[in-house]
Amino acid sequence: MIDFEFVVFNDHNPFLVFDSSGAITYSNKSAEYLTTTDAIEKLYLLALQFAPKSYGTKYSLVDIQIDIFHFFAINVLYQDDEHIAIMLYNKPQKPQKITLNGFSKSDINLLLKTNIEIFKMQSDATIKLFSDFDLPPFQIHQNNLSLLLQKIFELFKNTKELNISLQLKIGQKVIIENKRYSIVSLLIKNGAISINNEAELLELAQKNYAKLYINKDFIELDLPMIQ
Amino acid sequence: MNKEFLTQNETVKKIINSLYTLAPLNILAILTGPHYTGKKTLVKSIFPNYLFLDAKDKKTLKEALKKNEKVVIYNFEAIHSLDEFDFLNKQVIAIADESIDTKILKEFAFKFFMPPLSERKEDIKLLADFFYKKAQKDLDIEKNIELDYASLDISRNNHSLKASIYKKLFYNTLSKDDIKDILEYYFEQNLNENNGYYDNLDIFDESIIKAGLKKFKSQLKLSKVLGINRNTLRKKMQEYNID
Repeated sequence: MIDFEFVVFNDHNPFLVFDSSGAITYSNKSAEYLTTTDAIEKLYLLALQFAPKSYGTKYSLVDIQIDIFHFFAINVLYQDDEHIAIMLYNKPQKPQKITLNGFSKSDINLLLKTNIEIFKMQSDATIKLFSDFDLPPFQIHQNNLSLLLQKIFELFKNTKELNISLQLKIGQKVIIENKRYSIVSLLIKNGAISINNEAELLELAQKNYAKLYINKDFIELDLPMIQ
Repeated sequence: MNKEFLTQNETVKKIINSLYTLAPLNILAILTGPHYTGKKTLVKSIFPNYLFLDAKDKKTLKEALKKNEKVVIYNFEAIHSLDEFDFLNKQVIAIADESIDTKILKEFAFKFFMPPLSERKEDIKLLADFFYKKAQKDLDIEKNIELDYASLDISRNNHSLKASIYKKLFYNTLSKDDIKDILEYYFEQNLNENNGYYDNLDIFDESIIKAGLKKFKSQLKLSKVLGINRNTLRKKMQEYNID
């Protein structure tokens, strides 16, 4: 006998079951990341919006981003009036190829500090920087990364206080072209972020082989430490 | 020792500080702005040892980029595609006027704009005094004159400012004989065959009336000073469109 619950629990795609009040009664392993955010209400409303007209299932193609997660489709299921379930399908990511044209082994702390200094000349924000100064040099395209950092900082131009941290993501790796790289994470936090050039930022992040996560009150940039 | 760039303007001071800060990085930075605002002088004051290259001479530029990692490229508006050149892993400080292609600008991590003199009034006196001393030296003039800073021409930034100071200083040293010499030279070049006397009379008439009105304010006083009839003066003012 197959243990279907085991299969569902370990599915790579998030799966959640809500009761009629919108509270979660079940979530699989992949959905745990979603339930830690304030996305629960959003997901419940999404399930109601895309629910089939009668009992059964309805698969819909969508383009949804919740926090750092991207989904290309959802399946909404219900068999009774007490529960409604939703399965979210992760958007596949294109495999990246690395060409290091214009990259050189660089000190990320020096680059970040310089970019902050330049930003400080255009902004009155109080900047608090928490950085791991022991990070070893790794391959960076100094111009392209500066271009991205300046664009990101520009979003915080009228901010009063900005918290920036630069740290190694302990225990986490990114695989590019079958090679595992440690991740240096740059986190920029303040109040609300208003953004109208997301596509441009994501494109710039891609040029740096970085992952950019834009949240409503923080921006995270994960850089692979390519040696 | 770097030659300090003359400014009291906060925006320009920030540009200077930013460029100093960028010195250790391999990045593309660009300074744009109107002509004759001192962009090249400013960059030279910060990076006196960098190789300065003219973007109009693409062949020399390409060759120089093969051998140099830190360069200043002026007339960058002449470049319409960065792909033509090898800027990888180099520090490039570009200087351009406002006609630079916006697509090119997008590739620069750091962009700075040099304001015209009309937007940095605090620099006018500073630069005027500097040009005045230079003019005194260049023209070998010891005599001091009082500069009316508000009347200096800043329509073409440093270029017209400098020219207006040289002119003012030069005018103040002219003797009657110098003016006669100048006029003699002018007539030699420009005198035509017909009506030469009457066609050139405005050089004297218009100038003396304008100067007199500035100095004595009233037509009545001026007609007495010049020793001509008031009606004659008015007629001449109408002729030369003097209010």
